[in-house]
Amino acid sequence: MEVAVVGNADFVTGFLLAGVRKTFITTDASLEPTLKEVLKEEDIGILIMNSDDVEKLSTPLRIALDDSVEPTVISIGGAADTRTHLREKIKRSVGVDLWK
Amino acid sequence: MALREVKPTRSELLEIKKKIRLSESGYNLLKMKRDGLILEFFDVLEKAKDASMDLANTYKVAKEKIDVAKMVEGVIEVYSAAFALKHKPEVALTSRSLMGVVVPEVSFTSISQSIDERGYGIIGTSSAIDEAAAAYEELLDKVIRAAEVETAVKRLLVEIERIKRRVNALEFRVIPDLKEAEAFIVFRLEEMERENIFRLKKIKIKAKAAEAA
Amino acid sequence: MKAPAKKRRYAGSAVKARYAYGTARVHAMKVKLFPQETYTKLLVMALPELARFIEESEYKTEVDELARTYSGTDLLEFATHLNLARTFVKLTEMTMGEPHELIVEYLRRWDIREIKTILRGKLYGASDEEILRVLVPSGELSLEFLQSLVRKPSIEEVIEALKGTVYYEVIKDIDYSESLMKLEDALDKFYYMRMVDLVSKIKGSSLYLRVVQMEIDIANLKTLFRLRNAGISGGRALEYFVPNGLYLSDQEIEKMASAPYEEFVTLLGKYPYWSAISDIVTDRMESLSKIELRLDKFLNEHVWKASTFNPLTVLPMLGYMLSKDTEVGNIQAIARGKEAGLSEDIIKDHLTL
Repeated sequence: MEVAVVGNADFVTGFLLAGVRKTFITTDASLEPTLKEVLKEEDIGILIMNSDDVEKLSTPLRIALDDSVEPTVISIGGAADTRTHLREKIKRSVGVDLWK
Repeated sequence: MALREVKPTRSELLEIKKKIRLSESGYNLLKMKRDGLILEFFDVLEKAKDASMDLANTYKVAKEKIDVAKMVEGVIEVYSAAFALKHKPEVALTSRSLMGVVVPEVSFTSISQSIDERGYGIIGTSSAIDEAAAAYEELLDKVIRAAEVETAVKRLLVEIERIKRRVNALEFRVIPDLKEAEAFIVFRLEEMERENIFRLKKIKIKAKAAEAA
Repeated sequence: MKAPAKKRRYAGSAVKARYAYGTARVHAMKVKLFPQETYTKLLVMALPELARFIEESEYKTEVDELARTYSGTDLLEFATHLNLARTFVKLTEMTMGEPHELIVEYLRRWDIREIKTILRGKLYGASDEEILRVLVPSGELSLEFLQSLVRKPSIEEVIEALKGTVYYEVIKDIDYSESLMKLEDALDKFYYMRMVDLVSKIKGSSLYLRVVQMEIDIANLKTLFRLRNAGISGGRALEYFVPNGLYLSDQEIEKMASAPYEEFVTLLGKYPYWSAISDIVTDRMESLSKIELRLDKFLNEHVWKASTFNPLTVLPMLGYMLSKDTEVGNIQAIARGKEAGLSEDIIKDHLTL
């Protein structure tokens, strides 16, 4: 299975040098539709996105990304900490905000 | 379990007592499992936090390197160099069991390469591109570690939730209901016992009176 | 489709007249180059402003042309490079005889870049569009010819189609089943060899010959650092060096490639290049890209000096070419630096002013 990267040109370019083939360059406008298409692809094991882009997504899509196992979605960079959804879950289950 | 459906018989009482024993031992087992999972969860969570921070730092460095490469060589060279790369990173997702929870294990064909292995010529390329490529190779490695461990966190969380619900159901619904039923039967049996004794007494008194007459 | 050949016929006074006309035109072109003050302005602009400036400048034609295919900083980069390419091709049309030969030879470095990209693209399995997007036809090989190469279905056929160009003989027997590395290095060595050959035949070009050989030294030095950093030494390493450098002989290079750090530094110290990098070379060799930047600047300064020294036949032309090339490189550095949010000081470091 392959690694895929979705985001703007600046974000995606570096991964080309790591040998990643499935790269999808998006603009703010094309982000959601492209993402939906990519999620449907079968051969992707890991999907990498920029945290700033994840922030721009609608809530249902964000939850879908969070719950997705194949592909597993990892967000990096950006100013935002997009793991808040996970942190909320942890707070509710275990009672304490363990992720600081 | 509606009370009126409970038959107040001895055999029924024995049944209920058995059910209570089973439920209570199941309850204790589940609590132990829950506690075990939570301990495991703390451990995995720590790893996830570390992986996440490591990832953020590695990304920062990689971004700096690619920015330099774009400044020095231009993106045209970067795109061209990317075409030269022989190796495509592949991931294989397998599973293992962590306290009964299925968590992913990612095996990754790691690609840290030497400059004479990547596929491009040495004379016509520069360090800027080498360094950016090396940095992103490392980043990819970290991304995959993080993905593995974050998914484990999520899966454990789901399982912990599930077990918590069952524990609560047992503690606040199932066992109390059973005990209520048990109490009811005992009460009714005692009541019937008392009535019997009373009736027998009455019969005895009647019989004595009839004998005396 | 054969590569179009460019031939000129030479005739006495017509040559001189032609040449004078050429020089005059180069002067006119030189005027359009950015003065120092422009860079100062550009450095403080925000990226959108910078983009607008470039779009309204000399580069307007190319920006407008490419705006459909590229956007943002990519557009600036591709447009300025295309403009550079066309400018140089114009120069070949304005000259004849030795200056013409020299410029054509110089342009081969870009032809080689495009050939590499096409071969890499084919090996990678990129689509025709993907490869075309990355090409900037600048050299002797025309856009149409390069496009025809891209459309070949396999790498074998691309190489076959290079028959008739000077590149075919260089690469036809090289095994690329493992990677393109040997093939690319062969092309680069070929460029330098031809350049040295040609320049040594031109009367009065000893100064420029030194420049070309200095460039070879610098290329070899960079390779030396990279190989040492990667722990590659011995016989394997030697194939990566270009012969005919100015100061660094093959034996010296061989010694430096396998010497322990202390000895390496001692050997390096003998050469003028050391002055440019002595303060940043350490035994851990962390940032080679900084070292390379310094070496490039050193080379640039020397090329400048050579080009202004003697207003002989070729050098003013080369001086203009260098300036134009530098201008495009500077625009690229400023644009990418701003895009990455780097400070003015850091960006300035990457400029040649």
